[in-house]
Amino acid sequence: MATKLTASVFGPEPTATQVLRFLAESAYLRYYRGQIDQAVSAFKALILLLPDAAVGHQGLAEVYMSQSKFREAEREAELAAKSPAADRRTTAFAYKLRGKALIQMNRLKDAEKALIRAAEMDAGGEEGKAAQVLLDACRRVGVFPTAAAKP
Amino acid sequence: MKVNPQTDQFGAVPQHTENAQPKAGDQTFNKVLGGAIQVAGQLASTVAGAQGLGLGSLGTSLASGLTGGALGPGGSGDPAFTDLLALQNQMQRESLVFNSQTNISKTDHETRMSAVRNIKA
Repeated sequence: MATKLTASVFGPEPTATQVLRFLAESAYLRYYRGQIDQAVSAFKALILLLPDAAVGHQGLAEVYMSQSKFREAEREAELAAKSPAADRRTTAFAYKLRGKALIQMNRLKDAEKALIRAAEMDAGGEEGKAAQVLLDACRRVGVFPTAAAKP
Repeated sequence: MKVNPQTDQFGAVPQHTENAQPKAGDQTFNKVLGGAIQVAGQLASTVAGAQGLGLGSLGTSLASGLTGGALGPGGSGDPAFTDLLALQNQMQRESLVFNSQTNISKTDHETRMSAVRNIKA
Protein backbone atom coordinates (compact mmCIF):
# COMPACT_ATOMS: atom_id res chain seq x y z
CA MET A 1 0.00 0.00 0.00
CA ALA A 2 2.75 2.41 1.00
CA THR A 3 4.71 1.42 -2.07
CA LYS A 4 1.71 2.13 -4.30
CA LEU A 5 1.17 5.49 -2.60
CA THR A 6 4.78 6.60 -2.94
CA ALA A 7 4.84 5.37 -6.52
CA SER A 8 1.71 7.36 -7.32
CA VAL A 9 3.16 10.53 -5.73
CA PHE A 10 6.81 10.35 -6.74
CA GLY A 11 6.97 7.85 -9.58
CA PRO A 12 8.77 4.51 -9.56
CA GLU A 13 12.10 5.77 -8.20
CA PRO A 14 11.68 8.77 -5.88
CA THR A 15 14.71 10.91 -5.17
CA ALA A 16 15.63 12.17 -1.70
CA THR A 17 14.97 15.74 -2.82
CA GLN A 18 11.42 14.87 -3.88
CA VAL A 19 10.69 13.19 -0.55
CA LEU A 20 12.11 16.11 1.44
CA ARG A 21 10.11 18.65 -0.56
CA PHE A 22 7.01 16.54 -0.01
CA LEU A 23 7.71 16.53 3.73
CA ALA A 24 8.12 20.31 3.75
CA GLU A 25 4.91 20.89 1.80
CA SER A 26 3.01 18.50 4.05
CA ALA A 27 4.35 20.36 7.10
CA TYR A 28 3.04 23.65 5.73
CA LEU A 29 -0.26 22.01 4.79
CA ARG A 30 -0.69 20.84 8.37
CA TYR A 31 0.16 24.34 9.60
CA TYR A 32 -2.43 25.86 7.26
CA ARG A 33 -5.03 23.36 8.47
CA GLY A 34 -4.34 24.16 12.13
CA GLN A 35 -2.74 20.77 12.88
CA ILE A 36 0.00 22.47 14.85
CA ASP A 37 1.48 19.45 16.65
CA GLN A 38 1.93 17.49 13.42
CA ALA A 39 3.35 20.58 11.71
CA VAL A 40 5.91 21.07 14.49
CA SER A 41 6.95 17.40 14.24
CA ALA A 42 7.39 17.66 10.48
CA PHE A 43 9.41 20.89 10.70
CA LYS A 44 11.64 19.40 13.42
CA ALA A 45 12.19 16.35 11.20
CA LEU A 46 13.18 18.69 8.38
CA ILE A 47 15.71 20.41 10.64
CA LEU A 48 17.24 17.04 11.52
CA LEU A 49 17.35 15.92 7.90
CA LEU A 50 18.44 19.27 6.44
CA PRO A 51 20.32 21.26 9.10
CA ASP A 52 21.60 23.80 6.55
CA ALA A 53 18.21 24.54 4.96
CA ALA A 54 16.09 27.45 6.13
CA VAL A 55 12.70 25.87 5.60
CA GLY A 56 12.52 23.92 8.88
CA HIS A 57 13.53 26.84 11.08
CA GLN A 58 11.33 29.22 9.11
CA GLY A 59 8.31 26.97 9.46
CA LEU A 60 8.91 26.50 13.16
CA ALA A 61 9.23 30.27 13.60
CA GLU A 62 5.88 30.79 11.91
CA VAL A 63 4.22 28.11 14.03
CA TYR A 64 5.61 29.64 17.22
CA MET A 65 4.44 33.09 16.13
CA SER A 66 0.93 31.75 15.66
CA GLN A 67 1.10 30.33 19.19
CA SER A 68 2.40 33.64 20.63
CA LYS A 69 5.70 31.96 21.60
CA PHE A 70 7.71 34.98 20.52
CA ARG A 71 11.00 34.07 22.18
CA GLU A 72 11.11 30.71 20.39
CA ALA A 73 9.90 32.29 17.17
CA GLU A 74 12.68 34.88 17.27
CA ARG A 75 15.32 32.21 17.86
CA GLU A 76 14.10 30.03 14.98
CA ALA A 77 13.76 33.03 12.65
CA GLU A 78 17.35 34.01 13.41
CA LEU A 79 18.52 30.48 12.63
CA ALA A 80 16.56 30.59 9.37
CA ALA A 81 18.05 33.96 8.45
CA LYS A 82 21.59 32.71 9.08
CA SER A 83 21.08 29.46 7.23
CA PRO A 84 23.79 29.12 4.55
CA ALA A 85 21.56 27.53 1.91
CA ALA A 86 18.82 30.18 1.94
CA ASP A 87 18.17 32.47 -0.99
CA ARG A 88 17.61 36.23 -0.66
CA ARG A 89 13.84 36.06 -0.55
CA THR A 90 13.81 33.39 2.17
CA THR A 91 16.41 35.28 4.19
CA ALA A 92 14.41 38.50 3.93
CA PHE A 93 11.29 36.64 5.02
CA ALA A 94 13.16 35.22 8.02
CA TYR A 95 14.41 38.68 9.02
CA LYS A 96 10.88 40.04 8.67
CA LEU A 97 9.57 37.26 10.91
CA ARG A 98 12.29 38.02 13.43
CA GLY A 99 11.35 41.69 13.35
CA LYS A 100 7.70 40.86 14.03
CA ALA A 101 8.67 38.61 16.95
CA LEU A 102 10.96 41.31 18.38
CA ILE A 103 8.18 43.90 18.18
CA GLN A 104 6.01 41.57 20.23
CA MET A 105 8.85 41.19 22.73
CA ASN A 106 9.11 45.00 22.94
CA ARG A 107 12.72 44.95 21.69
CA LEU A 108 11.97 47.76 19.28
CA LYS A 109 15.50 48.79 18.26
CA ASP A 110 16.38 45.21 17.34
CA ALA A 111 13.06 44.87 15.55
CA GLU A 112 13.74 47.95 13.45
CA LYS A 113 17.21 46.66 12.59
CA ALA A 114 15.76 43.29 11.55
CA LEU A 115 13.17 44.92 9.31
CA ILE A 116 15.77 47.22 7.75
CA ARG A 117 17.95 44.17 7.11
CA ALA A 118 15.00 42.38 5.51
CA ALA A 119 14.28 45.35 3.25
CA GLU A 120 17.95 45.60 2.23
CA MET A 121 18.37 41.87 1.76
CA ASP A 122 15.72 41.60 -0.95
CA ALA A 123 15.61 45.19 -2.22
CA GLY A 124 13.31 45.27 -5.23
CA GLY A 125 11.97 41.80 -4.49
CA GLU A 126 8.60 40.87 -3.07
CA GLU A 127 9.76 40.24 0.48
CA GLY A 128 11.99 43.30 0.54
CA LYS A 129 9.07 45.47 -0.52
CA ALA A 130 6.82 43.84 2.08
CA ALA A 131 9.41 44.44 4.79
CA GLN A 132 9.76 48.07 3.69
CA VAL A 133 5.99 48.57 3.83
CA LEU A 134 5.90 47.06 7.32
CA LEU A 135 8.82 49.23 8.41
CA ASP A 136 7.17 52.39 7.06
CA ALA A 137 3.87 51.50 8.72
CA CYS A 138 5.58 50.90 12.06
CA ARG A 139 7.38 54.24 11.79
CA ARG A 140 4.19 56.05 10.82
CA VAL A 141 2.26 54.80 13.82
CA GLY A 142 5.19 55.41 16.15
CA VAL A 143 6.16 51.85 17.03
CA PHE A 144 9.87 52.67 16.82
CA PRO A 145 10.76 55.48 19.24
CA THR A 146 13.99 56.53 17.49
CA ALA A 147 12.21 57.06 14.19
CA ALA A 148 9.58 59.27 15.82
CA ALA A 149 12.22 61.87 16.65
CA LYS A 150 13.41 62.06 13.03
CA PRO A 151 11.73 64.60 10.71
CA MET B 1 -50.54 -0.88 8.30
CA LYS B 2 -53.61 1.21 8.89
CA VAL B 3 -53.34 4.94 9.57
CA ASN B 4 -56.06 6.72 11.47
CA PRO B 5 -55.57 10.47 11.33
CA GLN B 6 -56.44 12.13 14.61
CA THR B 7 -56.46 15.74 13.40
CA ASP B 8 -57.38 17.51 10.23
CA GLN B 9 -54.02 19.29 9.83
CA PHE B 10 -53.37 17.37 6.61
CA GLY B 11 -56.65 18.45 5.16
CA ALA B 12 -57.07 20.16 1.82
CA VAL B 13 -55.10 23.34 1.30
CA PRO B 14 -57.51 26.27 1.21
CA GLN B 15 -57.86 28.03 -2.11
CA HIS B 16 -56.00 31.30 -2.42
CA THR B 17 -58.09 34.41 -2.43
CA GLU B 18 -58.07 37.16 -4.97
CA ASN B 19 -55.68 40.02 -4.35
CA ALA B 20 -57.29 43.11 -3.01
CA GLN B 21 -57.42 45.98 -5.47
CA PRO B 22 -54.92 48.70 -4.51
CA LYS B 23 -56.17 52.11 -3.62
CA ALA B 24 -55.21 55.23 -5.58
CA GLY B 25 -52.92 56.50 -2.78
CA ASP B 26 -51.09 53.15 -2.64
CA GLN B 27 -50.41 53.27 -6.39
CA THR B 28 -48.75 56.69 -6.09
CA PHE B 29 -46.62 55.50 -3.21
CA ASN B 30 -45.61 52.38 -5.15
CA LYS B 31 -44.57 54.51 -8.13
CA VAL B 32 -42.36 56.72 -5.95
CA LEU B 33 -40.81 53.75 -4.15
CA GLY B 34 -40.24 51.91 -7.43
CA GLY B 35 -38.51 54.94 -8.92
CA ALA B 36 -36.22 55.28 -5.92
CA ILE B 37 -35.31 51.59 -6.05
CA GLN B 38 -34.64 51.82 -9.78
CA VAL B 39 -32.31 54.82 -9.34
CA ALA B 40 -30.47 53.06 -6.52
CA GLY B 41 -30.12 49.90 -8.60
CA GLN B 42 -28.73 51.84 -11.57
CA LEU B 43 -26.23 53.61 -9.30
CA ALA B 44 -25.10 50.34 -7.74
CA SER B 45 -24.70 48.61 -11.11
CA THR B 46 -22.82 51.60 -12.58
CA VAL B 47 -20.35 51.73 -9.70
CA ALA B 48 -20.01 47.96 -9.55
CA GLY B 49 -19.31 47.82 -13.29
CA ALA B 50 -16.68 50.53 -13.04
CA GLN B 51 -15.03 48.73 -10.13
CA GLY B 52 -15.01 45.47 -12.08
CA LEU B 53 -13.24 47.12 -14.99
CA GLY B 54 -10.57 48.49 -12.71
CA LEU B 55 -12.04 51.98 -12.69
CA GLY B 56 -12.41 52.27 -8.94
CA SER B 57 -11.69 55.99 -8.77
CA LEU B 58 -14.06 56.70 -11.65
CA GLY B 59 -16.76 54.70 -9.88
CA THR B 60 -16.17 56.63 -6.68
CA SER B 61 -16.36 59.98 -8.48
CA LEU B 62 -19.54 58.86 -10.24
CA ALA B 63 -21.02 57.83 -6.93
CA SER B 64 -20.06 61.09 -5.28
CA GLY B 65 -21.42 63.06 -8.22
CA LEU B 66 -24.70 61.23 -8.12
CA THR B 67 -24.88 61.59 -4.38
CA GLY B 68 -24.42 65.32 -4.65
CA GLY B 69 -27.11 65.51 -7.30
CA ALA B 70 -29.58 63.39 -5.43
CA LEU B 71 -29.09 64.84 -2.01
CA GLY B 72 -28.64 68.44 -3.04
CA PRO B 73 -26.32 70.98 -1.51
CA GLY B 74 -27.94 70.64 1.88
CA GLY B 75 -27.07 66.98 2.04
CA SER B 76 -30.50 65.99 3.34
CA GLY B 77 -31.73 63.17 1.11
CA ASP B 78 -33.78 60.05 1.34
CA PRO B 79 -32.57 58.13 4.43
CA ALA B 80 -32.86 54.82 2.57
CA PHE B 81 -30.68 56.16 -0.25
CA THR B 82 -28.09 57.42 2.24
CA ASP B 83 -28.11 54.05 3.98
CA LEU B 84 -27.56 52.35 0.65
CA LEU B 85 -24.56 54.54 -0.12
CA ALA B 86 -23.13 53.95 3.36
CA LEU B 87 -23.54 50.22 2.84
CA GLN B 88 -21.83 50.49 -0.52
CA ASN B 89 -18.90 52.39 1.02
CA GLN B 90 -18.61 49.78 3.74
CA MET B 91 -18.56 47.01 1.14
CA GLN B 92 -15.82 48.79 -0.80
CA ARG B 93 -13.73 49.17 2.36
CA GLU B 94 -14.22 45.50 3.25
CA SER B 95 -13.32 44.51 -0.29
CA LEU B 96 -10.14 46.58 -0.08
CA VAL B 97 -9.16 44.97 3.24
CA PHE B 98 -9.93 41.50 1.89
CA ASN B 99 -7.85 42.09 -1.25
CA SER B 100 -4.92 43.37 0.82
CA GLN B 101 -5.07 40.34 3.11
CA THR B 102 -5.23 37.86 0.24
CA ASN B 103 -2.31 39.59 -1.49
CA ILE B 104 -0.22 39.35 1.68
CA SER B 105 -1.16 35.68 2.13
CA LYS B 106 -0.30 34.95 -1.49
CA THR B 107 3.13 36.60 -1.21
CA ASP B 108 3.88 34.75 2.03
CA HIS B 109 2.84 31.43 0.52
CA GLU B 110 5.01 32.01 -2.55
CA THR B 111 7.98 32.75 -0.31
CA ARG B 112 7.39 29.53 1.66
CA MET B 113 7.15 27.53 -1.54
CA SER B 114 10.32 29.11 -2.88
CA ALA B 115 12.08 27.90 0.28
CA VAL B 116 10.63 24.44 -0.34
CA ARG B 117 11.82 24.48 -3.95
CA ASN B 118 15.31 25.37 -2.75
CA ILE B 119 15.58 22.07 -0.87
CA LYS B 120 18.33 19.92 -2.31
CA ALA B 121 19.38 16.65 -0.71
